[in-house]
Amino acid sequence: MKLRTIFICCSVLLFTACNSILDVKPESDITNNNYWKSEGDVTGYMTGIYTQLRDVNNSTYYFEDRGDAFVPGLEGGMTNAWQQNLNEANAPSWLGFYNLVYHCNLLLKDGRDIPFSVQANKDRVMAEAHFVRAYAYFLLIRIWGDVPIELQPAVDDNPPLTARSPATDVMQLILNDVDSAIALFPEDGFRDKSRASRPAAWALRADALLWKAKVLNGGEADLQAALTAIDNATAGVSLQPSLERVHATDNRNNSEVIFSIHFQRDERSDSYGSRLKPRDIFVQNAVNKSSIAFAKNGARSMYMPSPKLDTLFDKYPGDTRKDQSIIKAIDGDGEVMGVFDNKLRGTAFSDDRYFDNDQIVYRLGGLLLLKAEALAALNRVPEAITELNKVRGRAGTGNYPGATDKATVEKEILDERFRELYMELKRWPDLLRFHFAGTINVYDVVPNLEGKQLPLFFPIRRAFIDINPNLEQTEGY
Amino acid sequence: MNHMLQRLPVGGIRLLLFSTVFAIGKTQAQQKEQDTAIRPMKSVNLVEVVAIGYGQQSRGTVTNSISKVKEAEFSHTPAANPLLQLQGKVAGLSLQVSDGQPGATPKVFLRGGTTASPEGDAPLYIIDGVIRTINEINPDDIESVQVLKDAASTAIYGARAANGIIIVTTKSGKSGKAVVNFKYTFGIEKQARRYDFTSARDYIYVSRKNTADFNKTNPDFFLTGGRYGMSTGNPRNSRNTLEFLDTYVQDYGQDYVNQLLHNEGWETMTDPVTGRELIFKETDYQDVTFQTAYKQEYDVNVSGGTDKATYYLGLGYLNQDGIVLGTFYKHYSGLFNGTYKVSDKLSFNTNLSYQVRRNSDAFNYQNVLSRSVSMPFTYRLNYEDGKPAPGEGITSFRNRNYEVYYKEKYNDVKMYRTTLRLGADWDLLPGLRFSPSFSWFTTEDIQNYFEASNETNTNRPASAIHNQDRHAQLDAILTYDKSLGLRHHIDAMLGTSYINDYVYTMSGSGRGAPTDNIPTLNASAPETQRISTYKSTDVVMSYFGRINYDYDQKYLFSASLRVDGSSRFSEQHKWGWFPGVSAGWNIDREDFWEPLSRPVSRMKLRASWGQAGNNLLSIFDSQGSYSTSYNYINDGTNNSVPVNYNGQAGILNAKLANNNLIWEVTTSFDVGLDIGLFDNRISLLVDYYNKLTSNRLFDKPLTASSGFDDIRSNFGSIRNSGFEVELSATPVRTANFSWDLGFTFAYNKGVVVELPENGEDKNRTGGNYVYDPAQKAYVKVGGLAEGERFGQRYAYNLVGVYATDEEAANAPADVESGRRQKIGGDAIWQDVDGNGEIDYRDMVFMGYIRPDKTGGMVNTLTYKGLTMRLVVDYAMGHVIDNAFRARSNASARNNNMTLSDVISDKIWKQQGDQASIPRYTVQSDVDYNWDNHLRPSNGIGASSGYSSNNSLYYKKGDYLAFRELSFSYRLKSPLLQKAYIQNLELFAGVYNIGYITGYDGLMPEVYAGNDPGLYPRPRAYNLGVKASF
Repeated sequence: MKLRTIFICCSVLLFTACNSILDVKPESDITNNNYWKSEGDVTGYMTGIYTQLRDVNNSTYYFEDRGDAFVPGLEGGMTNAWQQNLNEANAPSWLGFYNLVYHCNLLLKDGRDIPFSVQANKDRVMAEAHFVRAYAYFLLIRIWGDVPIELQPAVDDNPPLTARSPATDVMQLILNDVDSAIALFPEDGFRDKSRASRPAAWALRADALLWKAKVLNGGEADLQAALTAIDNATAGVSLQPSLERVHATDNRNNSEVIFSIHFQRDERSDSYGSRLKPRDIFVQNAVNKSSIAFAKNGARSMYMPSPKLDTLFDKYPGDTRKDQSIIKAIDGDGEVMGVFDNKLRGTAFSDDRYFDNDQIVYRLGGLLLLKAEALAALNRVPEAITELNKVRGRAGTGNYPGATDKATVEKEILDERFRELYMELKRWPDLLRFHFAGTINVYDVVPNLEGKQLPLFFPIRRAFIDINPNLEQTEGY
Repeated sequence: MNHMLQRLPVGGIRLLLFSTVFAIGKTQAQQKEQDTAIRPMKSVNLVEVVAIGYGQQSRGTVTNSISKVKEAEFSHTPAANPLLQLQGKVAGLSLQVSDGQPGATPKVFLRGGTTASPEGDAPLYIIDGVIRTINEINPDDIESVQVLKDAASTAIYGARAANGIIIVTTKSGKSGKAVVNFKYTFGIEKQARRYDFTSARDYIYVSRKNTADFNKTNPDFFLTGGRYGMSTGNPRNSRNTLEFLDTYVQDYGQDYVNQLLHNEGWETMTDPVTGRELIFKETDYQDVTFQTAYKQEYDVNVSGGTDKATYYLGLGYLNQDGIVLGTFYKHYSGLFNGTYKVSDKLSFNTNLSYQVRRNSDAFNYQNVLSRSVSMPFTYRLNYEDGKPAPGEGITSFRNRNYEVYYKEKYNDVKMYRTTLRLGADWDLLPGLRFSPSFSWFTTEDIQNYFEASNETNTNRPASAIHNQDRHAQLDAILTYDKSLGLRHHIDAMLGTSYINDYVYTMSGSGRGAPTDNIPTLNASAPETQRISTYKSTDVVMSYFGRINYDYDQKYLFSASLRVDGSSRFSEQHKWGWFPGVSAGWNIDREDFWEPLSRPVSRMKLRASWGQAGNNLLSIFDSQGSYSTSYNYINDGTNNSVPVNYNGQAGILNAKLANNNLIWEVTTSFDVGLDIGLFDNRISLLVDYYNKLTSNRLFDKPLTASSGFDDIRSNFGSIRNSGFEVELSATPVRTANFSWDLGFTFAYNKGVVVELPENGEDKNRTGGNYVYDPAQKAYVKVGGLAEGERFGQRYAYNLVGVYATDEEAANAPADVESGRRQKIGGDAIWQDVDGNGEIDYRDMVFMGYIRPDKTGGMVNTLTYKGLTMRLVVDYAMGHVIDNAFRARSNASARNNNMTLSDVISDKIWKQQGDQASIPRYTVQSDVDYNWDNHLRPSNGIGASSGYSSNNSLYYKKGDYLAFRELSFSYRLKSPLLQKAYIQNLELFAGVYNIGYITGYDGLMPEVYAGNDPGLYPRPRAYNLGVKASF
């Protein structure tokens, strides 16, 4: 009898358990099966996407280092991009960019069928996702040229081995996404400038069209369309009184901003601006120490603003932007100890300075010059000068006094963009646009490129090709 | 599991003449004590009982590969963690200590583990039947540790057993008079080997001279302005002490300077740059970082029993400082083991243990042991008011004294572990027994950190973590033991087990408290406070059975099967099956062996085959995860940060789901011989094994445009094969003197067998191309490839140093240093492919990062009451990149203390020098693009920032370690008897005495490939007394 009792006990122990006992529902994270159920899942995911956008955008590597804005700083450590020493072994990875694309693809696919209580809210989220995906691809083609097109999120351990598509095809995808965004945004103006909006989408459209016109053998129609896009983008914004006010952390998302990427202490404060700032000990003997945006922690004088930029500011006397962009540490003997960025100064808290400047992607100052560039390219030089003068006016250099032939004015616009947009991740793409349009030869303009054959688009990692044999190396490497 | 002991099939059967290696460590008296506890002995021969999964078996009938380490190895241990005592004593057990902090957990793996990075392949620890950590187990309470190595023995633990099983049995009481033991141990620990830094004087001289000689771009930046350790421009009472003497005299007066020079140990020297006199104060930061550490330990235990009940109560207290300033480990432990017999058929047994740990570790090892220790000796230790000075003055690392004073003295880290186990044995029928048990193991971990306001960080950061882990385990086992006639014997077991692991974590942080007097979070500014909680649960449900059969103890057979279900897998793949079979033949029991039985007293052949699993993955690997924190790819850290944007909380898909994941299976085959010679004066255990891990759970690389770099996947197979020898011998045994010897050797080879088809040669994943002069072609190497041993390292091959600028004029273009023009004193890199360009394709093979041959030797010499032990262990076959040395010579941070290399004859100093070390530039080798010392890894070197990838700094790691030299003496005196002291033992020993090795860092026990500057294992001196009443 005892035996039977035991067997009953055992059986109870053994077989009541079965499979159900193993169904453990995670409490603090969510598995894929449990997501994409409600409106909040979609909006929460979009918020997440902005953090990944902030992460990939937060570097000077792609759009400043290869240009002529930097020289080695006090602590050095220049990248291969700055040294124009790129090869298939040290090539940068596009993983982060495609991670951003993945998140957009996932939201666009799995968020599509989620009902919202207010349709406009859903349209806005979808528009934002289209905008971010377009922006991600626009980053990609400016860095690598031809890149793979991924429009569906990977779902298992065998994602397709996608080949690189011609940049022109990617451009078409960018414009389609931008147009979807423009159509979907429920309002014309801004709700939050730290998120995408219809004006932001117009600005991106203009930026992309200029690239298409100049780099991808587009035509006049693209330039015309860019002009329309800029007018639409800038309808609700106005210039700040000074460049300093544009970037000041106590004046975020001001009247000039169209789209910015948000930074703040305790959320994310290590903006790339910290790479052109000194540690406190390097300027402790400077007579103007209190004016310099140094920090005890998190600052590194990896680069300094180049003497070339410094000289360019001097071309027109009274340019207020110079001191708002560059600062020199001076010692007791009047010697220059170091040169630092003065534009993205971050915020001085009681304990230390934190580099928490918003990264302004589009603002009126830049778009006015983009408009000038499009007008000049269309040979509407006087109109171009009008736009140019709006920016010069704010800078304190008055109306443009120089020659008014197309070539001179186009070069002037490029220089003006350098003065206005230094450190805003515009210089290298600007150089490429004007290079491909024939205004300059970038190999003569960038000191480290002189006498080199190095291609203008970045290489991809050899390891990527090993994993995906359908990929081809960027031409020239 | 003591209940199995009585049923060993020994009655009327010839005693098995075997003892393993480490039985010999016991003193003769201890030996006798244990022997009599088992049964009356005819001779000194010993029946050894080994624990197998859910039971015990006599060594004679065991058909598996099991090693046993006995009490003697734990009775006088110098270290808080009992695992350290296993080093070199179990063939096939790799034990890696990368941390000399008391109580630190070494990395342990068996037979090469099951993955390409076996450091994570920790075996499953079972302590008195409870799956739990071995940390905080008091070594003094340990009766034995057994290591189950082959899959036939581990298969009974199924899904988590692929990495082997370590079974720890604690002491129990025996019926008879109560015995009380008291032990006191005092210990001292010191740094065994020191970095060979120069003096401050030499540092100043060479750094300033080299700056003047070599720095053509910014010499003043280094020489003046107080920026670096070799800079002048430091007023009185600033962080750095170096200044021109005349400036000091002029600014602060001759009296002040005299005071410094005559009473405070300041020195003067002539500046090689300006010829002016310099004044400075040397502080040896190696001395500041390390200390002489003291240890006190008390252990008391009481044991005894009646025919109805037995008990063992052990109490321990340990207070041990670490050799890094400010680190310590305090430990309180209590253990109760008891049995109670209700009737002839029913008995209960229980284990209760409680441990409290309080410890303080270095907050950031890298900052202390790679950076702070190499702070230039010119930095001031204390300000004039006696308060600590920080050193260089950045927050991330300060000198150790400052770090402890303002920060780590506030560390409040406590861990409470409670184990409760209750079991019963119920004899239902003759031979049939039911043994249910319930175990409960909780760990509560409470950590509080705070940093007082100080000059480098004024915001008083505070943080706290509260973890609670709970392990509930329900086992039910039915055993049947039956002899059929005289010769057939069957022993069967059937069981089930349910395990539920729950983890809860709460963490919080804040800053901006108004005062240093409240170090807890409540004082921090409310708007800075962040709190997070996390929960997770993991369930394993199992059914298992085993049958052992022997015929006259000649022919032995065993088979087992386990079925495991795990909540970590997706719906379709939750269950895994794990079988094991083994067989043995006691040849010496055959009649035909009779003529041989004098020289070969024992001969057993055994073989086993089995499968075990590994469910080391999270539910999110199989089902994907959406998380509110995310590890961003580009930010260069490995930290998950909250997905917050503009104050709003977001969420992201952090992991791709792979619903196709199935159990990883390790199938192993083992064949072994147990041999006893000359009446077992010599006994030998020899094993060959072959272990194939298939369906490996591995991160499969994905094409980057998918947005993920990898996905957890079942990916190929890996084979570890090798052989092991455990020898024990008693070369000398006389009435008063004996010499016992134990020796182990293990050789393991791990190769990749199969990888997914990817179109590459050997289906290689990862790696890069180098030139192979034999094939005259570029070939891909590194990463993982079929048929290759893993853990390969490649580096740039330094073949010399350019003596002059002219000699360097035609140097090949060095792509890694931006093709700059080479000059005298630059490294000559071997241009392997001879194409006039130095790039990654010129890297050459350095070696493997892990040793393939390991073992140890224990010698025990006993003369009357005096015992001496000499223990050594060894490892061979690995290389180490001495990154600490490389970074010093490279001046990697622009501000590193110099090693004696820089003033030696080996380094290039001026035009024409024939040197083997490139010049010390003072400017950082990396930041200023010199690239003479530190080179990039290019995917085939060490990717850590603390690596040189330069052949100059690679050394073989082969070593012979003198692990222990100890003495113990047992006092016998009638006087003691009168004082009720049955036994008095005095012991003393030195541990981690030193190494014979060609490696030039602090210790050669480095298996990660590179040595960034580690917390070295200390040399320990131990002294104690043990009394039994």
